[in-house]
Amino acid sequence: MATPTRMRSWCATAIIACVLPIAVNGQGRPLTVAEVTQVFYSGGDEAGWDEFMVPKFVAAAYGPRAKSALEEILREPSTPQNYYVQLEALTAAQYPRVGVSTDIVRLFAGHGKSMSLPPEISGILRQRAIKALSTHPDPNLTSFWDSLASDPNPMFRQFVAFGIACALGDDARARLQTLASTNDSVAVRQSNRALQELGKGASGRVCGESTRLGAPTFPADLPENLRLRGRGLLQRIPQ
Amino acid sequence: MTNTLFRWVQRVHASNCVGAVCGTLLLLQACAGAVTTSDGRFSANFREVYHPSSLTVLGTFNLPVAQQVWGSNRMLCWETDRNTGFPFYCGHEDPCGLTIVKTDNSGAMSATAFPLVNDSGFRLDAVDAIGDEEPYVDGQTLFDTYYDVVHAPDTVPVFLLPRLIQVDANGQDQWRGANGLSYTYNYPPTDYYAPSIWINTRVAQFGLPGVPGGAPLSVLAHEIGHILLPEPPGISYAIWGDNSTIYLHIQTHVGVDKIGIDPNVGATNEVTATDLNRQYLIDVDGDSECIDASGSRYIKVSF
Repeated sequence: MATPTRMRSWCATAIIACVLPIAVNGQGRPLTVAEVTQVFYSGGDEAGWDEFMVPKFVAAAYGPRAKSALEEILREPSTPQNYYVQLEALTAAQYPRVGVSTDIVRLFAGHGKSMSLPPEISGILRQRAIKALSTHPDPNLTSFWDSLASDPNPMFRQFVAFGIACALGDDARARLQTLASTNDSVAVRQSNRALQELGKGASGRVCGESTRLGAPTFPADLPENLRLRGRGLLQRIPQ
Repeated sequence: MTNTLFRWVQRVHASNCVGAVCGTLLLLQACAGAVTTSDGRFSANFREVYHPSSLTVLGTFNLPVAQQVWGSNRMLCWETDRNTGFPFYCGHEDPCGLTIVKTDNSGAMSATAFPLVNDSGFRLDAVDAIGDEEPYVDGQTLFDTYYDVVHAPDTVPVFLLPRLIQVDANGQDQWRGANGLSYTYNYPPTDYYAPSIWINTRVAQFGLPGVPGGAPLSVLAHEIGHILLPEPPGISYAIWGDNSTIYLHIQTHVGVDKIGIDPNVGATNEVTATDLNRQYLIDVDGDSECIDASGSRYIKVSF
């Protein structure tokens, strides 16, 4: 049986849970760290609503409204406690539309930011950061890609070709052709793929799922499957 | 307090009497309402298939903890007050009483047939040109090899691999960062590989507090929840789409290393199991998963 105290507690919480969000979740307001964290923890280990799809949902549904919260998450020291939230923040950072600073992402893409974690975990954060940078059409990242090309681990090095292609567009051809002529099988495979995409002209998808031209606004729409899976979130945190 | 397993049988009676499930002798007995808890054994079968690489962390298939969670731990309880209509937290219910079975045909996969990428991980799935997740030939072949849809369709394969990889739209191999992944039917759009559990063992060995699937030893128990819980529309999209991970954390981590029940009503030591989440789950009728799992196609009843 519910005691009066419990009832009061429930009613108070119900007001907070049901009324307050309607009052404060206005369109255009930046998302808080708590809200972004709530969205990230809604998924993770279900096919279709997993560690890749939930950040895409954030980018598509909220875009730049998530920027400040994501950057705040990424500025925190890396610990086992915030590993998953930082992983998801880095995954969301692959969408330039959100606007997360590439300078912050680069802290993870090097060897410094997450070194306090076990290598199995820090390596995942590093790779996710490198992937995030590879979808930014930013020529200022060229030196980063040139440097990464000599990384001993192919699981990191594999992102160089498309990273350069996205950063430089057609101006990347010479670098890609050089990579394609090396003995590095990973570099050869990925450089040829990137050159093939560049060969498609403006329709070539060199920035992840997007073209170089479309990257700054990708994803422009919320896909229906993500809208369905996230519809409860959208009620609490409207677009 | 009503025995959970008895109410489970009652739920079977209520929900399945019209279905094909009731065609079996055992469930005819259940439907007749004559079954007592001491007579029945509710079980679910899981086949462990591990990669023989030294990088695979085998302890992540933790049968004793899965048995503890689904068999002997007392469950958290929410009920609706008859007078007020308000749901409230009511402490603990009886254990679920489910037996988790590791099947006899468990064992290693062939390292030759299923090689790792750069001695690193296994390509589980991929992303197509428009960003939808889709099966990858490596994952599909592994699943088809070890899921016996003809002779044992209710035995769920559990694959243990050093790392799980998703091939992205540019053909790059991305390590997955979660502890594990589950595939079930009826989830648009990714019901391939269903049913199956995939454990990302290099990550799962740490049991990081912030990682879905959570505690070091309870990843299997957690993923079993995804398999056994009914799928939308049998359970609210609000639970499954928005809060399934947290929901399962609240329930399946009871009494297992990182989380314990706080004496304060409505709180646990799990940082993600906030009161707000609990209240939300109450609002959408997120009842005990033990009862919710009763209609699972993977539950076997024997006497």
